[in-house]
Amino acid sequence: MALQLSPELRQRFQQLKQRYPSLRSALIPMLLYAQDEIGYVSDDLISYLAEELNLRRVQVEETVLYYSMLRRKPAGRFHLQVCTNVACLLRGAKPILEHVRQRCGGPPKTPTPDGIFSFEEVECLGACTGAPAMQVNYDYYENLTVPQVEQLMTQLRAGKKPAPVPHISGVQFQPHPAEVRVISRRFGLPDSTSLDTYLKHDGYQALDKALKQMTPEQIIEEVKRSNLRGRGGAGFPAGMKWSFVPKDTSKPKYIIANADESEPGTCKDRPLMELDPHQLIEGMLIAGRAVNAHQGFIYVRGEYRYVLEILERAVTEAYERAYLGKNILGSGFDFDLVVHTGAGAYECGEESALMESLEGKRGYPRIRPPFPAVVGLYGCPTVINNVETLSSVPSIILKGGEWYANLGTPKNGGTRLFCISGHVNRPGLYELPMGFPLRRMIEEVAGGMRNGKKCKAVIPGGSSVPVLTADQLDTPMDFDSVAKAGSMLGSGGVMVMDEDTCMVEVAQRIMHFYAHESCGWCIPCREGTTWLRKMLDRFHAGGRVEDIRQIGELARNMLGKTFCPLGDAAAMPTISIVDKFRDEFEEHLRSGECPSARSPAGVAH
Amino acid sequence: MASILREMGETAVTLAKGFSVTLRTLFRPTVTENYPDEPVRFEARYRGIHVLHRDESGLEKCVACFLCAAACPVQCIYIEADENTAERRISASERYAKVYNIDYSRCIFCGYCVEACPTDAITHGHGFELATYNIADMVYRKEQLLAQALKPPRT
Amino acid sequence: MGDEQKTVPLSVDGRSIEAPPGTLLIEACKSVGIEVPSFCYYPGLSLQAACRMCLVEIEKTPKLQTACTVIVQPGMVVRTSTPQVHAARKAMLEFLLTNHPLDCPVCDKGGECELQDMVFRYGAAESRFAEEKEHQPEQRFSSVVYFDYPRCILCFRCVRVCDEAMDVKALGVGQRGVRSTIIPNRPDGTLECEECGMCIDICPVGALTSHQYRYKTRPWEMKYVGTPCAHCGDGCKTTLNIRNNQILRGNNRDKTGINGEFLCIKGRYGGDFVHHPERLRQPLVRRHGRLEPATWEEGLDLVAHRLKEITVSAGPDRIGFLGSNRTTNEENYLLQRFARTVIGTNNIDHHRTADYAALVAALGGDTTAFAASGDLARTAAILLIGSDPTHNHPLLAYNIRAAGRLHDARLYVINAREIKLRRQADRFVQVPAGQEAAAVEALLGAAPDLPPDARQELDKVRAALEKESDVIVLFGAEMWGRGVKRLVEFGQKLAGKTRYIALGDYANSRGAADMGVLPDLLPGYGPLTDATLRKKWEQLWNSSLPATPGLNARQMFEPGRLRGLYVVGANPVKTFKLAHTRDGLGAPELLVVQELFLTETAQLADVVLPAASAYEKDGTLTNTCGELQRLRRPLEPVGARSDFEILRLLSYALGKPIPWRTPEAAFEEIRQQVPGYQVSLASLLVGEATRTAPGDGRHADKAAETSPGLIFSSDDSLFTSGTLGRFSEMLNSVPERKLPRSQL
Repeated sequence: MALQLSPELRQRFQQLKQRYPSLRSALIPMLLYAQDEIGYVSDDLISYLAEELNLRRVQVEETVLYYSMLRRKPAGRFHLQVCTNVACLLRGAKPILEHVRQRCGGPPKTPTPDGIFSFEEVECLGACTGAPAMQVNYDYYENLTVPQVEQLMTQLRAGKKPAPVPHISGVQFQPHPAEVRVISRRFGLPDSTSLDTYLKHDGYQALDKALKQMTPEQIIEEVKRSNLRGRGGAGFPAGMKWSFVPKDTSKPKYIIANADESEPGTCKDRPLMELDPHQLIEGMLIAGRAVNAHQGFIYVRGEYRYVLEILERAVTEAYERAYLGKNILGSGFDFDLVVHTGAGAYECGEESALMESLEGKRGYPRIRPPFPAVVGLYGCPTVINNVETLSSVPSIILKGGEWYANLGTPKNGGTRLFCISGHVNRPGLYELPMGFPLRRMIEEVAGGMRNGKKCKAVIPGGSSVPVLTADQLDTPMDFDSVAKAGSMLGSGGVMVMDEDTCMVEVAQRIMHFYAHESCGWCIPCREGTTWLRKMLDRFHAGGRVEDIRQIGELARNMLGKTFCPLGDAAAMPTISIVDKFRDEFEEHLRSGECPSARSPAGVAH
Repeated sequence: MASILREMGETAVTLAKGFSVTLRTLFRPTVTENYPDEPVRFEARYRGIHVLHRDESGLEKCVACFLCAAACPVQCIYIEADENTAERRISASERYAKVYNIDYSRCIFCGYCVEACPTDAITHGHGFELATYNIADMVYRKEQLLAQALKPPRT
Repeated sequence: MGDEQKTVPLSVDGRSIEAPPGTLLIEACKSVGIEVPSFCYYPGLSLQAACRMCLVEIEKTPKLQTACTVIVQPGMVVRTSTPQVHAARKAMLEFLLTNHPLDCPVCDKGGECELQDMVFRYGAAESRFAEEKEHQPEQRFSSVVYFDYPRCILCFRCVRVCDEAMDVKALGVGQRGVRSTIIPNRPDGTLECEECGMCIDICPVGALTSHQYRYKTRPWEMKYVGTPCAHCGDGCKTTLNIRNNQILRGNNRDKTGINGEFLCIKGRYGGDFVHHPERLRQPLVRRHGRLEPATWEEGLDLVAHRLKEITVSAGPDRIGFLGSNRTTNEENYLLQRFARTVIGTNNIDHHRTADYAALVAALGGDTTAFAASGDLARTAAILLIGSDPTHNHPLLAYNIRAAGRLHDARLYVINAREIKLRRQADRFVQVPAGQEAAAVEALLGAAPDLPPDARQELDKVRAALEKESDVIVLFGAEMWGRGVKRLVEFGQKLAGKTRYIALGDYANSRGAADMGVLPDLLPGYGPLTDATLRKKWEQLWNSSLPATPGLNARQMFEPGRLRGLYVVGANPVKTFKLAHTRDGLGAPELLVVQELFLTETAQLADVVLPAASAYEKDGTLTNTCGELQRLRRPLEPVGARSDFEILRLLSYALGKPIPWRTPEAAFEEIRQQVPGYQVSLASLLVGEATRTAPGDGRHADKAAETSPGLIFSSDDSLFTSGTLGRFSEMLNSVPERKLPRSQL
């Protein structure tokens, strides 16, 4: 059976094959685009791509099987992907999943008999401020209720596709008074993605300044002065990271924007790219100038297909107007930018795994040292920063590092785009200065707790960090203060839980996520997450006394022993929930069932 | 004279003493077993000729792991393993003992093989009649050691 | 920069130790006997740091560190046996066992399983895992390889050895997380590969098992005999695992011998030809046109009688001997002495698969220019002309790949075919078939008739080689006679040291030539025409030697040349592609064959004498690089006799007894008399390979005189091995054997 591919797809393949320094890098985008056309990754497609890219068949197969968006079997015409991760769980994702499951019948990822639908329970889609959310193929539908889902399915079946959300729900076009808008200041402008709008609002002025008035050393110095710390989660000072790149090397250097936003509770990179793509491009250009790199990549998670298209349009526009390409702004500086798609893997948000993935391989993390700044993408020095970090760079260059630093607290410069989700009245994205108190964030900015309930716990920085309890709400939200409170600021995904929330269920859902996303490289993470998942599943339905201690012990056995931070990310919230909410675990034992099951306001019931 | 009488008296007493034992024992239960006319009675833990057991579905419990042979201090157990097939299933696991011999001219009935067995396939039975005129007959094959199938083995 | 050569001092568990700079901590610990456990770390393969078993405490680092990735630093203080480290190991093993089935009694690996050992040493006594295990049924990847998913601990050794060491990449990793699994390369879930079994050998647990060994026995029930492999010319040491006089598998887990742990399918599983039901167990004598079983006495008497008859009636030169490139040195030495003194003819030859004689002659007595197989890993550059080592010389191909991968050696390949090693080559020059010698002329600067692009490429190869400090030249049967001479001339012009390996096909191809199973050369390549040399041997053997060179192999099959043909361990009908009739062999009236099987040639014989295989006899073999190894006689022959014994008995029957009682006695004479074989007995006896280097330069002018058609390779693939391969069930069972020569 010969492989039938459309001329458009073949043309796209040709483009993809020429885009990367290494042929294999084109593999994942080629697979994904081919799957969009054929419906799944067939044996023939694998053989074809192996030949096209000079790979062995098993190398392609390995890659396919790693990524959750790539399927080896056909799905329905509309693939309903229901997010049930914590942020969506808190706002009622389970009934939606249950409804979809019933309407589709049959097992997940299997087409209905008429071939129209298939469904899948997926991990965080990056729509936490619009929770609960669902993706139909690549289209986002947010703030859903069961009747809305029913209506959506009826319309889809009738061939009338309702319009997906134009951009992420929860983004603020009217700033809240407490907000200090730096990177989000262009949100809400009409046609904010266009180059003209961008130029009208300080666009590419920072680049001009960086190219014409500053030396690379000065740029790095300015960023160091700004106290800009990595917005991806670890909070490493960005200027420091740039200064590690060796200056005397014959190898090419690369800039990567890590847009594989997958941390549950985090959806800040999505608006930054879909509403202000040029800000990111400018940030990357400046970073490129600072470390003398001439090639950049934006690694966008596969689910953000429409964001990728916005980015690609912006890049094309920038090339047309010579903000990318050769001799930018007449300065003699060359820079090329490629927008690359992932295919569904949380692990690829880890910088070295992202580089493996960008090289077209399975997203396994790499041994460090050497660090990416010395040996990164294709074995060359590489700077890899989060989208938010890079988006902050133009303002820093334009207005000065000191100005930016002063917006925040000492050693924690600037502002942060916080994604507040969960049981609050106004979930949303708010740009707040570093060090903004958590209590004000919930009560003032996000409009307080929903239904007048009491706050029970807050996850301050995505699901990978230990939870804070209600009596820790006065913590200022900057890296150092949150660390002092025993947690981490992480990616800025603030998930607020009210008094009816079952913390065992939260722990269970978090562990489901890590067990699903563990890459399988190292033993403690691979086996530990799954063991804990199974234990928590069992415990939630009725456990043994020794289980409580054992859950904590197993998590501690993982902590600090895994190959990459994913193991710690799974262990830390678990340990904190077991420690801080031990009474809830004991309550489960006593009653033999989930106490919140009796409460109609319970998270998932 | 007196000494003779005393001697007679003592003899009578001694006889009475002796016969009283006999008399007493006459009315006690018999401990002597009339082997071979009657069957021998064993204590439960008597270590006799081994028995290879079957599981509830009639399959052999032995998976030919060789641990009994390894544990045997006199190397009297010889095994050849083979693989079960879908058509011909002998044991519940992947492998089974194609050959299982115990050389009773060497076995010391120490029970280590029973201790070592991970599947409880081998135990000591109560068989003990091993005498033979030909030493080669002392090598017992699997067929001789195997417990009778309760029902025909599943095929 | 002298400081860099110094060792790095560090402290491990309170002991001050030293290690060369760049050493991995785990290796430094191992070197002083401190065991740091690991699964995924494997010397020679890329680092993985995935199993987390080697976590150790290093002072001034907050977290435990993996000893397999940390490089020793001066003053480092390491602790490998603190409670924290022990707890970590215990935790890792507990994690590993969550999904690992506890079917050790059934598992083939039980008793030699690394996981079993580690749990015994470091693990917890009880399991806390109360959940359901992931299960998938066992898969048969190929006729050799079985995969049991639940047992796999995902150390990826198999995947790495297949990709990095073998350059096959037939195994990959599928799925992710706890469902990660090893996947084979074909869409239907089976393997298409070299079937080398390295993945099975390297697997620390029983996840990958071999068909041949499956559920047969247990490791402690077998005896282990390390002996040179009987198949190709590389002479790998294979440790045969034997129970009840039966080979169950081969491996080389102790990593001794020239091959380390490497073995191909032939060395690992191809020993089963010994047990083939068609093995000859008793002599066969032709009666009434049919071969019928006979006693040894009948067979030997008949042969002696007929040989004597022909010698008396027609003269010794009407009898010819075709030797073997599998029989031992002692047997070859005995055979040529038998032919030359007992019968009195120089009509002796064998199927020559490499022109060793021409190489020895061209080197003119330089005994330092022979490279051993291990030298490949330490050279700066390798030039490969002809042959396809991946198929014909798996060990040398493995070493060539390792040279590039681990030691940055350059590889230059000149070949008529797109052989697989071109993938490792810095330069690959494809020349038309038969033009390999012309390519050498081009290297020498001549302008032979070659395609222009090939000539351009060859110029670049020459330029590159001239810059190399140390070159090993390997050449196949394509290069012979004058071609070899010219190649050596080129090698001598290079700036650096140049060494050579001639690539012959079989286990003792080299030994047959070294021992003088040639019509014109005495043992050690001494020319027969040299009267003083002849005199030496005549005195030694107390017998006169015929002075004129005899018939070569091709000439012997010419019609009417011979009245008696005596074939030892060869199948000329097949190898020389002769008609399958007596006429095809030149219509001799007597045909005697010593063989393991009833080959095409044996079927035509008057008397067939069953011979013992290399695994059933004593003696020595010389591999194609000249490395001498002793056979360890792992098995006892059943019915057959060694060729040595047969020839010796015949010498008695013919009234000219050859006095050596054992191969050892013959070897002692070889060691004293054959140039280049003055080896140390000690290293030979402990099972090491000892280099030989024949160096009789007096024959230089004859080098170009090799007649055409005498040097040719059987061009076996990985799955064929002349006669032996045809009778190996394992080699016959792999589907790849039937595919066009695979270049996976």
